[in-house]
Amino acid sequence: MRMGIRRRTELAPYLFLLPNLVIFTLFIVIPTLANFYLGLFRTSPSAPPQFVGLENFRYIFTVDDLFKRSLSNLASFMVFDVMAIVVLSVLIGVLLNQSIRGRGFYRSAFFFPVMLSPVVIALVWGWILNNRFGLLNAMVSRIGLDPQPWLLKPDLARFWVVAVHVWATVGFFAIIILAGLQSIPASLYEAAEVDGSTTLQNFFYITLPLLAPSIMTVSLLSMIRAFEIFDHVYILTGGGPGTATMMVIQYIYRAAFELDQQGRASAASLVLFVILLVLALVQYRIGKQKEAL
Amino acid sequence: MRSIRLVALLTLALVPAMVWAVGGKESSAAEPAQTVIRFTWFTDGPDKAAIEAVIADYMSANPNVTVELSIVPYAELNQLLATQASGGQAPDLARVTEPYRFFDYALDLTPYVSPGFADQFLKGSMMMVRAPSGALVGFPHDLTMNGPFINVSLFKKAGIPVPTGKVTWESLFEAASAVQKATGVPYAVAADRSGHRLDGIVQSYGASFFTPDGKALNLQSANTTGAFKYFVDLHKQGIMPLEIWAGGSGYVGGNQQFINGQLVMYISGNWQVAQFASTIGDKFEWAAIPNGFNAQSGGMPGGKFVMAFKGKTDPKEVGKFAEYLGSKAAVEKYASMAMFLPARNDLIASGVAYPVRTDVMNVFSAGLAMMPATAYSDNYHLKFGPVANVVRDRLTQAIADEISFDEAMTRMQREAEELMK
Repeated sequence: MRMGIRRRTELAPYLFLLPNLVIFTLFIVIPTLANFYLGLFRTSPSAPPQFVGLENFRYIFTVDDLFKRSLSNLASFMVFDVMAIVVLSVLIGVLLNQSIRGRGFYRSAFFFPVMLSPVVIALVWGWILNNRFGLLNAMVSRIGLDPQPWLLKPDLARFWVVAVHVWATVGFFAIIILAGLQSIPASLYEAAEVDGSTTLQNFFYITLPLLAPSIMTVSLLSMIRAFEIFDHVYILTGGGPGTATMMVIQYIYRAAFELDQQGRASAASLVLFVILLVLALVQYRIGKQKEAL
Repeated sequence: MRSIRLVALLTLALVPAMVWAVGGKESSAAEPAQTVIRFTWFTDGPDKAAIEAVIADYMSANPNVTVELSIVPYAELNQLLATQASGGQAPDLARVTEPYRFFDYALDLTPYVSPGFADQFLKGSMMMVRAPSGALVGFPHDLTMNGPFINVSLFKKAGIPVPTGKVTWESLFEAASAVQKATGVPYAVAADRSGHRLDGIVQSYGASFFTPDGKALNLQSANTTGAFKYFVDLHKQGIMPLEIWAGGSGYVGGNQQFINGQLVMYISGNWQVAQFASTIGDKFEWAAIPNGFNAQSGGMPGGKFVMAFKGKTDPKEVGKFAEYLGSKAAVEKYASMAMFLPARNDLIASGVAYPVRTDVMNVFSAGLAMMPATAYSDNYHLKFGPVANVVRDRLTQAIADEISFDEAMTRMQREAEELMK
């Protein structure tokens, strides 16, 4: 009798896990395996799939300039996006942690864009940045400067893609930093004050080191989100001008749905999967280390 | 007593069975079995009401048939049909643009339609609905034709005559550019960001994406390269705006700029006519003019097909409904209401009376007869869609000054060759 109860108790967690496990297997594991399988075929809507081994991988890495282009675009986007998010989220987090009037309002205001749909954000910014009828050029003209083709010059378009994404997401990361800041004991600042420390010294010698785990979380999360970027860019610039802002997911979309090359798209998505997996593992390891501390 | 109870129970048990048997017999005699035909449709706008009216006529003439019309967005059509077909859940009929995608799941209509059915439609378009096995899997339902629209009011304001007759693209674009400068509107000429629309322009130079036999690419021929170069230069000279071709991904239209009266010449196609008629109204005068004529006429056909799928519905009923949809009366009603060009030979010859702007529609109809053969062979090539997208994207790189024109041509050829494998 007691054995039966113990066995049931041991089985219970697995039973609770089972529904999630089934869904995860159906919608994540099986499609991932199927994706790898599809990546070994040349596909066409007018002919049966043809087994080509690793040819799709060879093609995207050695022949196709657009895959390399989308990877380098993504890398540069990620570097600037993550840097800007880390710096700004710390800055905003520190400011929002001060005892200032209307602190609640500012916290809400910075978080507000996070709740907006990426499509809405991209459409609104697309209108603001329109070179002929946009709000920004209207303002620029009013102060006597020449209107600029903000989204039609490669460098300007790259800048605005990062800027709009940072604007849309930095509020979320600032909240993580804010939580980190609030976990720093006030006694440390009090002790430093007794020792005659300045505000700047407090920031560099107390706040920043103790905020390191939060900054690391922000860096990794923003890096993963940067890798998954699609809708902001697709609607704002369409990957253009030319391919100046084409990211890997858009490359995959183009290969699968505009060129009917599902095999090639699968190969590219597997490469992205591996990169994301490595990033997720790094994040997991760091999380474990934090727990150990 | 016991036997009385038994008889009573038996009688009670038998009553429902008798009622069911009698009732069933009566209803089967009065109402023939109902056939449900599932019809998937994507809409370009005004055609929804038109196809619903055509279906309503059929259902009132055939009370035993219910046609379930299911409207889906075009962006999801191919994926949806592929998923449904592979799962054995394909609709009985669907409106499609690339029938070859679904040949494996198609119903051969040959035994279920009249013997001369296929001969009633444009020969070039019929090529698309003949499977490699020879099966007749559908019919061309409505046609489209590329061509330029002009803002006549702007031409009048500028005091520049509207070009007529066989005019080269260069002359057309020079005239539009002059009108733009004289009137101060922001845009002279815009073409939809589409390989299909581009092909309609370059056909005039004797260019094409594929060789006429369809066996090879023709992107590197002198005519095609020259025409592509001219198209890129139009953007560099500011005659065509960067916003359309360099400012987006996938299809980008210039219709909004035209509707707002900011564009002198807009290269699109007859599917815009109904929308322009209702949206522009009396705001300004507009018209369609023939495609540019350099070595030959420009222009590209396009069209939608009604395709039959294998399923559980009686194929005789599916065939009968398909034949009705392709009949002269149904096509005429549909084409007139939806402002499309008919794909039936008899209606092309006699013309269709449209509710508005028959004059504009006639410009496009007249263009159908002038289109070069390579326009058909390009458009109906199995790889046209993907190759046209490669052409579009690589020329965009040159337009955006990302790479040189020569480099764009090299990469275009390399990527298109990969698609031809």
